[in-house]
Amino acid sequence: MNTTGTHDAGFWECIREDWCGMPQPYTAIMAILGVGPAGSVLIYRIAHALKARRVRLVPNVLRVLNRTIHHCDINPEARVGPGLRLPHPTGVMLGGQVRAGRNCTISQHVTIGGGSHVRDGRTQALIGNNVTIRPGAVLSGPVNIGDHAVIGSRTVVTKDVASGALVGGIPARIVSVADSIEDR
Amino acid sequence: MKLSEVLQENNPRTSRSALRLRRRQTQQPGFWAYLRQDWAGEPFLRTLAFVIFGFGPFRAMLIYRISSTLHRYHVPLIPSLLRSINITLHGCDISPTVEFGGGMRLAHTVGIVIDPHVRLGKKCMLFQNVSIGLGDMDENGWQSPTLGDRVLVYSGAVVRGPIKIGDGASVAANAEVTEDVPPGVVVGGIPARVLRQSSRSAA
Repeated sequence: MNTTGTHDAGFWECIREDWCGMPQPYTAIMAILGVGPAGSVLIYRIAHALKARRVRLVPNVLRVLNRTIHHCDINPEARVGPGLRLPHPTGVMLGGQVRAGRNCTISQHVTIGGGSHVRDGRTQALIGNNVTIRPGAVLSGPVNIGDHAVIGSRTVVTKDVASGALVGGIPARIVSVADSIEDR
Repeated sequence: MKLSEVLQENNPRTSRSALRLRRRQTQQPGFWAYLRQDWAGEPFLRTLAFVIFGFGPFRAMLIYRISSTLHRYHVPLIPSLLRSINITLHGCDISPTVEFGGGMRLAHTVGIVIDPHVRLGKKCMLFQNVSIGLGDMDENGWQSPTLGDRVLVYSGAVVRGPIKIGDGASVAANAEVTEDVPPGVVVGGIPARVLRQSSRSAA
């Protein structure tokens, strides 16, 4: 079983690794201004760090700021590992109990949330390392996503996804499984 | 430092006059020509009211056209900032490097995402939540779709990968297009397949 979502990276490591994953020019200036894709991740990181230090109100203000500037709703309680990439933050929704590993890429319009069904004390997704989620996918309920998995566009995931699998369709079905990590 | 000096310094071989010459050779319309074509596709008074008062699609197009023009003249940073303003105001993420033909129409701008290096033909119309491009950053570089003229992409559709969509084709709502589409057909489903011939006129 994968050791998903249990990263122990601190604030500065997260910031540094997020930074390295951004190939666009002017990212640094843009992020400091709070705009551009890196800006949304930065705002979430600050909100998350303040929430962990039990600061009141400010994390929620930052969340609203993120919603206003980037149209993405990331709960400050979500725990996403370093190297998070949001190429286009528009329409991304991450719930409060989401746990994700390192180097995940989350595209636009992705919803990772959950309902009332409880499993292992969570109601939302547990995501491995190096997972790619393509535009418009929905991860509903306490599903486990293995390392190096790829969730296809407009897929609705309600069951677990094995490591290295490419899933697609509504509901999600396995399209292919990578033999090795290099295939991805 | 003056803007003109910045331009010269950044790119001595593509000064304004050289760019203008190249545009004349390739017959690519300039900023005002693009704007005139876009304006022609919109109901006049409604657009005027939207530009002045509201969050109209035309204002999103205007911001994109300005950012794209500045990008062509190699102005630094400002195109990216304009793109961010477009995201904040309209929820519409169109990279300045996108090549959008004249007469573009955005029905509702919310959630439209177009990656860099995507090329769209003339008189294309996009609905809300449409994604065109790869959608994620890959080690293989950018492999972006090319859309023909008069293509209609309905709400929530995803067009991705190094594909071509023919003139006059329509993409149905929430479809995922990953393969080439011939001209004049309607495609839909995940993954998309050809549903029928388009009933729209070929004009």
